[in-house]
Amino acid sequence: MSYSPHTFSIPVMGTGHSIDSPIRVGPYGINSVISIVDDLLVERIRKYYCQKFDLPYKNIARNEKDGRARRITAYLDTVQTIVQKKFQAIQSLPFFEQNDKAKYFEMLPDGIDLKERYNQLLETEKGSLRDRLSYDLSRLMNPGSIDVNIMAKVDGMNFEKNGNPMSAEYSDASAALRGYAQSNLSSSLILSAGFNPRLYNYISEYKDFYRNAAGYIKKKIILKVSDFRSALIQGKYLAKKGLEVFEYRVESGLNCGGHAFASDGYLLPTILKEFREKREMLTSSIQPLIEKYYNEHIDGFSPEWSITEPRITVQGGIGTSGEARRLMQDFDMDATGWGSPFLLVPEATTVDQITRTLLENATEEDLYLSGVSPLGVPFNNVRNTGSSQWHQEAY
Amino acid sequence: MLEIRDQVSGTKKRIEKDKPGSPCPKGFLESNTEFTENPICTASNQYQLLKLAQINQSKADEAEKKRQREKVLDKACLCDHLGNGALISLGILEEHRAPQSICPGPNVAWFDGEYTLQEMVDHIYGRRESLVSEERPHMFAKEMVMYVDYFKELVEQSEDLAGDLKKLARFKKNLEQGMDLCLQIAELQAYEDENLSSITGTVKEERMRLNSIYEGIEEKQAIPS
Repeated sequence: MSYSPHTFSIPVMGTGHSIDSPIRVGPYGINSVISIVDDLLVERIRKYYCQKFDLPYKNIARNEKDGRARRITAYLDTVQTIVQKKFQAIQSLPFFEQNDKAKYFEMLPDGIDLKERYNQLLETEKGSLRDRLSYDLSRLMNPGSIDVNIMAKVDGMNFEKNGNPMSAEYSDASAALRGYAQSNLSSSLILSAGFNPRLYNYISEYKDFYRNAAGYIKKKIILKVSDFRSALIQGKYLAKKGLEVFEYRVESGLNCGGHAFASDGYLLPTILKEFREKREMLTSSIQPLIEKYYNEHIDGFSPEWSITEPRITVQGGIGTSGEARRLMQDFDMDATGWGSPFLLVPEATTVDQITRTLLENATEEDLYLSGVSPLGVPFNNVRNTGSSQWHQEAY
Repeated sequence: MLEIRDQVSGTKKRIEKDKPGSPCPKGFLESNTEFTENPICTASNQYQLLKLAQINQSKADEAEKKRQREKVLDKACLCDHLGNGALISLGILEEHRAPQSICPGPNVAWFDGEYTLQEMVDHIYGRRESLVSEERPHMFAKEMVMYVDYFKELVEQSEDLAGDLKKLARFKKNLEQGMDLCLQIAELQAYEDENLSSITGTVKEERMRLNSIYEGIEEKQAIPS
């Protein structure tokens, strides 16, 4: 797992708009999130990228056994192969030229060690010192994380052709989880849209979510939460199964994209203040449960393993650097998430030209909390999409 | 456009044309069991025909029927349409064959161009001229307005105001405490590219709006204050 040097990440957007974002921004060290809700979409995108990068592709048909999980695994492994390839190509470029390697370093936040070393390199005369600095700096580069999102609430059961229900591990969310668990990725799984005990229990069947002998967790858990209380409850629930939460991702209830889970009137500053005041509890009341689990079920919790406090990050409606600074400095947030603005960055997301133009021209009146979601949850939307025209014409 | 014609006795041609909802090609959001044993999606053709027929046969007055129909027909085939933008932009599907849905946050209103990755990253870190206008209200101000809008919705949608009163009062109280905290933040020194001064005015306006919505409930309920 690579730790991005950046203090922002690109969250999941829809089922498709960030579907290949790691391929686009990962090589530059930026973390981003793929939705693995729609395995049929994932399969088509895999076919596209296998052709583009000359990788072998064999279709996993819609009705194949465990097809959903297998399509997701195959796609994620393909994404990893491509990100590695693109990243290594950047890493091996020369310094002192206006190329993607320069872009990688120029985009880094100022003040961090990696950026300082880069600035130092730029001021170094030709010679053995410059060669050594160049060599060291190239080795310190890391690709961004290929994270995945599962909406815990989207967890329909599936049925055999004869109409019999399939067993629980074939439910939509369980199969998606299995698809991620069986991939080669070392990254984070973001669980959003509510508490799903069946899914949370299922995570415990995969060892990649637990520490290995070196105390390292290959696949980390990130919980998207709406308030401190739910963070603590869910964190404890997972801890009783020995599962550690790597990050709690707080999102504004209404000022966000897609499904909007409104709070009980609690505004983001109130919620973040509580996190700032009580965040220590997310370690002190959870760590003993983790240790207990390892002592009772695995080979014990080694004193050599470092106990990492969970990160707290925030997203939803952040639009200026000053706001990001406020959240990080005054509320002790570890990072921020920037979603919707990246819909206007073709290098980062997949948005068709017509829809992107619609967004560029959208005013506050065009953006509204809609009732379009079949889930019955308010859904942040823009007027006059191709979808709404299609629904009106069809009628 | 939303006038419902008789779904049963129409000609074959009209049934084909007047097909509300989606054929539901993917089914990830199937969760409704009002009419069927296995869950179906409320954006599907199957559900919408059943639901519209039920509404038509109900005893509700015409205005109420119209409201109910609009709610049914408002559903979008999200799980399919949300993926189409990706398929179009990668050249996998043609635009006319793939209705696109997108789910932007309201914040996107203030970004009005197409940006390079580096431009956006420099904007995030405050290393270039801001991509958004100085007029853009602070994210805390925007959220506050959205919550008062939402409160208004809760009040308007409530079918039992007396029963919901406790919940609404709690919501209002939480919101007011959040507003107080926002005012404290507004007193601090603004960071560069932070429209902190927009918060104070917004709190004043939204507090008034919140109170007037709440007073509306009290008048309806004739609650002694």
